[in-house]
Amino acid sequence: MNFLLLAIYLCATVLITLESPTALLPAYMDGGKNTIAFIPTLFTVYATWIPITKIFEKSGISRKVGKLLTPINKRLFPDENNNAYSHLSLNLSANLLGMGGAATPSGLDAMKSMTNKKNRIMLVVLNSTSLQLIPTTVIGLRANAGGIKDVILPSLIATVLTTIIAVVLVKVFVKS
Amino acid sequence: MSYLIPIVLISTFTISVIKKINLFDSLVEGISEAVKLTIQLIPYLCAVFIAIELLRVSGASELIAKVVSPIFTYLGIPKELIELLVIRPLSGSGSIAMLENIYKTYGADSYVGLCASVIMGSTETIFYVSAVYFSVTEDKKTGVAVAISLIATFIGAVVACALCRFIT
Repeated sequence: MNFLLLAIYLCATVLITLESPTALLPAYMDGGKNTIAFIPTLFTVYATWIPITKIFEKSGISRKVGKLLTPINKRLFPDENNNAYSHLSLNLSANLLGMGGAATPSGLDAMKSMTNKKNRIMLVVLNSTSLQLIPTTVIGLRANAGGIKDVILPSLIATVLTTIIAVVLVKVFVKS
Repeated sequence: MSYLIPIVLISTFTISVIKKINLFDSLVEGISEAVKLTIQLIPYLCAVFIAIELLRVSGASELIAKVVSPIFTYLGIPKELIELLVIRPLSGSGSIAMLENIYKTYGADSYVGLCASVIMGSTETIFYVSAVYFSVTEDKKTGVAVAISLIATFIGAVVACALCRFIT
């Protein structure tokens, strides 16, 4: 990320200076202004969804979803201890329900308690290819930008597809 | 599908009544987290929003789009998505900034906007997740996880753009 930003800032600044030096500072100013203009939107999206995930957590919905996932877990991550399975259930259900904040701590606990390297790679790959059923941030930003077309179904199809590809690749190409 | 979100919200509120969960407390707790999260993200967002402006004003955006255009056309991905695709595996806040910029420039319901939405909604910050997760283990040679995730994500992006042709 550092390298990418350095490349952009350096090259673009040089290019703008060569073309029209007076356009340089306004570009920086606009970037800053765009950020501040965007903050209310982003805050509103989070303020809508994070309380909902709080209720998922408190009502035990996320734990129930986790329990439903146990059979799938045992297939995805064979030969682990019960402790690892309970962390895995929490991590996967938090991911499915879009509880980003709750997914990471349980994911790290699962990483620590798993004994098999292939299983650890599986968990990282699952978390890296997105499991979220409803892309709440995207939907919120779209609604704010005036989008009325529905992207939930195609997003879900793409999410399921990438997850299946990822699982197959790990199962076939990674040695335990 | 437009009823899905309202249904999720209504059922969550109903459950909070059945399970006797204090809604006001949950709202306040959740919104406090939203405040913290938003403030935490400002520096990252700002760095990327400035980068977006620099790319646009310098003409680099156009140039990059022109260069990748043949390959992207072949794969069916709009060339305007190159920056989002590059930044998506690296930074969550950065890709949110890119997404917002795409909505502003092309519109949320344009083909580019739809593809960007589906790609954003079905992918994750691969490098960040791998770094954080492997940081608590002693595993070496973890590159295979990143490689597999990148392959799956890229195929997902191609399929996402194909699916968006059917949304009208």
